Amino acid sequence: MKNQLFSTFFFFAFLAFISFSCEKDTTGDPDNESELITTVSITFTPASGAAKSFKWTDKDGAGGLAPVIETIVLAANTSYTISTTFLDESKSPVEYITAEILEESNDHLVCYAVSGSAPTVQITDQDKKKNPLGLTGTIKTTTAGNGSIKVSLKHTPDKKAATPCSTGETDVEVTFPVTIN
Amino acid sequence: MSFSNIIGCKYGCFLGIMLLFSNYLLGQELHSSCSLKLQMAVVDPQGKPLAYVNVGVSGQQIGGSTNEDGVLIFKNLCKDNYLLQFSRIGWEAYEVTFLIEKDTSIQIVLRESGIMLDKITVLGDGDKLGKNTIKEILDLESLRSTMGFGLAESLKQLPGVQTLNTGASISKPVIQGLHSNRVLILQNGVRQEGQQWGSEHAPEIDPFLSTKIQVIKGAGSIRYGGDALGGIILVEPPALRREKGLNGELHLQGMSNGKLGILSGQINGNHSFGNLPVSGRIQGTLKNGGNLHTPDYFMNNTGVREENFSWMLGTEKNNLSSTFFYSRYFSILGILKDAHIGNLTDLTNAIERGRPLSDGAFSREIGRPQQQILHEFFQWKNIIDLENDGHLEINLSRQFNRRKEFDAHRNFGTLPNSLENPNILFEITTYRGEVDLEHNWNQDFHGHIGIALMQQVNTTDRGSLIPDYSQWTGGVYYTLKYKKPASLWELEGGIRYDMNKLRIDDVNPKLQDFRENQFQGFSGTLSSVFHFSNAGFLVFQTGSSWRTPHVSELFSEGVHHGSASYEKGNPYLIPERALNNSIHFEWKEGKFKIQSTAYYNWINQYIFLSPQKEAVLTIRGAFPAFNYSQTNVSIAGLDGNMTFTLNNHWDFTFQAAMVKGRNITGNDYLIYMPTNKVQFFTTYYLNAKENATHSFIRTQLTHVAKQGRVPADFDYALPPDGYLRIDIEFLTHIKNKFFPDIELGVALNNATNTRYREYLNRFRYFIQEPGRNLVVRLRIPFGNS
Repeated sequence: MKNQLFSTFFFFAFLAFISFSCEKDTTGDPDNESELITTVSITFTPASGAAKSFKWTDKDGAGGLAPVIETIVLAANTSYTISTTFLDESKSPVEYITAEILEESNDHLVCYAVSGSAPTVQITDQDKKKNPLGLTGTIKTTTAGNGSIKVSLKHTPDKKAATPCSTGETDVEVTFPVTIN
Repeated sequence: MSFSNIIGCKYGCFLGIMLLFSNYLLGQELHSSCSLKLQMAVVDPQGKPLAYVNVGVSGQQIGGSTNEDGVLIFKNLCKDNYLLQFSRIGWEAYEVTFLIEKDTSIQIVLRESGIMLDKITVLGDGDKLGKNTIKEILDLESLRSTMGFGLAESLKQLPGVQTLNTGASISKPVIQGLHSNRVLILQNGVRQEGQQWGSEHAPEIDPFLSTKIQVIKGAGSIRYGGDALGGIILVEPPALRREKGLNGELHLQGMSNGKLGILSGQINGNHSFGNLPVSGRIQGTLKNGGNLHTPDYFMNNTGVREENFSWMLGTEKNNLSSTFFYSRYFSILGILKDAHIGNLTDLTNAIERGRPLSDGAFSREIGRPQQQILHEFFQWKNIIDLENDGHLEINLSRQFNRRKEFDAHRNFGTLPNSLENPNILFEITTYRGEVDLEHNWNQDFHGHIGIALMQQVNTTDRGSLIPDYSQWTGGVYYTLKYKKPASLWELEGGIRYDMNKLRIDDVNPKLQDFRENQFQGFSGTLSSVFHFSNAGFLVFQTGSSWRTPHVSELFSEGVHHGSASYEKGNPYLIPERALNNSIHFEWKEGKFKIQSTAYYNWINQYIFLSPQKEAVLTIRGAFPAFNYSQTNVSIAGLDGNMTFTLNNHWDFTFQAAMVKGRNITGNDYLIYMPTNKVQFFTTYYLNAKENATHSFIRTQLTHVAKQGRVPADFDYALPPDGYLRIDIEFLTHIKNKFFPDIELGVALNNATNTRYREYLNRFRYFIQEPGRNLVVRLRIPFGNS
């Protein structure tokens, strides 16, 4: 009797161990890459003449191949309207992220920081709360020379802050070399 | 040898909690060889005599129990060293070595353990954790007063253990300057297998399920693995109840900072079914806290939830005892929102601010970023008593760990409000099987031989930080200990061989050439104990251990958003190997008690993140790049404490620790080494009243220096200034009609609301440490224990 009880205990114990329904490994999507921005493109449209686009592209994401950066070439003493777009060119068809930024415009801000001969960017568009957004703007070149424009896309910035561009989380930060002829 | 003697020897080895001993020399000179008398009086901390305490002498046929007056006398002793072992069910066992050369009278104080002595625990940890292993035991009182703060914070009480924090909610233990994969954590004797490689991955253990936590420093024990370069943490649940009946305890805690509440309880029972005794326990913990505050502002999104549950079921028959243990740990941890940054510009901005954008407010809501961690543990442990030959232990276990991390990050658009799709999801399942045979060659030689096998599968279902992999490890070891009862020396040595087979299951073509990896090597320890007097001993320990590079070190690649850095693994890493050398000293005499450990450890091919000259340019801007590299390092340190008991009312403890880590090859300091720390504890014991006993008030002053030993050009900001922190604690035991022993603790942590930052907190760039915190806790035992 004793031994029977004991072996019964062991039998159940062993069963419990074998068939214990713990949490199991679930198989999700193997590599659920988060969505990506690969390309920043700025289109410069002069009052008269053809529009020109310049791209900063890193199709394979962080690491791997180095990004391809085009130099922005502008004419001196000219006014341009600019329009900045963000794309995911790693997907086919290419995904236009600008549309989503417009949709969530209150939470985004495109900032432009310039150096050298590159002229300052005036933001002309607004988000749904009438705060600056920065997808479009104007610039006016003066003398010929070299410089750079740094474009950053801020997520959830504090647009009421003294320097809104130093708040929020940076989703994009790219620098274009600029040549003004 | 009787069973109780075994307990006495193995259980209480080397750290009796309180020993007031007075050595009344009776002045009788030079007795003829074997006619000496030893009178022992055993009392409780209040000085009341304790009857029925078993007293044995290791290796000799002498023994007995104390009488009603707590007294036992051994006669006809020869002039020699005697290892005395005191034990009584429900009380902490204690052992002490005595040189008897005159007629001697001693007084021994035993303390209530609250742990039922249990064959399983005792046998499981017998000889291997004798004096030869340099270790620290966190006493029950310190454990209970800190367990509301988590495992690592509890361990911080010990000299030589520090923590590596990520904000206020994530804390990892650091032993001898090392952490993560270099520190093993064992739950009930089984290695915890989760995602312990990450510095922001806290150990997944509920401290409330344990009544005993030990830290083995350095390469002291190869039984648990050959890769514990820093040390080993043993978390042991209390043994099961062995007498018929039911008992339990309830813990209630509240903290003002974060309005944190904890409810924890357990019920123990024992019942005989026919002739089969079955013991069981059910235990659980709930924890809920909101945003913590610093002296100046709230820390947004720093709430915490924990839901833990465990049970244990065991039986004992003839020579066999068998136990099942299951535990489930689940926590949700909020990560400080302001510490989540997109790129280096954001990091620079955040460091410049040095504080959150707004003062924040209290909230219990935990949003993104957050971690959700589940750890499930199931174990079947069997111990067969081989009578005089020792014990055979068979240990089978399964662990499952699921870690979900939710970023506050998306490249564009708003974040989903739901927490359905984590950005990172790791799942790791581990099966382990271990067999250990304790073998007594004769009275003086005790050996352990064992084998440990592991099979593990890790899948990364979201995020591509580390690839999917499977791993098989196998290890065999042999340890031998020499301990002759009257000898001043004890010796112990061990050798272990481990093999590790790692297969990368990921389809990523970049990993094509590194699918199959295999590592193998030996580790070993050698230690000796020298009893230089009745009151003290020295331990000399040397050991070599090695560690396989972890998958994260071999193959991780990507931006680490916590630190705005680009980290790149290196598949060509080879195992790192350490040579540890330590000297440990313990001395107790009269009113003084001193213990100290000095160590010097070399690690060859130490794996670390080496900063690269070229930043990695991404569409988010440039990130500083770090590659996993190898170098030779040395880590030296000294830690210890000293207690002076003035009288029945006052005692004073001084505790200090320092660590110095050098990159020998690079001729520079190592980053993130603990800062010099000194602590001073003053305790005032109140007179016992009828309804309130064991009462004390303790003040703890902690001074942490500014870290001066930092590598050049490595960190984003200078180390923070040193600080002085004051903590005050009051504890008493209340007796009433229904509950015989309610423990009430009230503590005021950071009493002066000091603003400070901790060098070893990875969020120190963004935020201060938490401010003043009032903690009230109750522990209510019930039932007949």
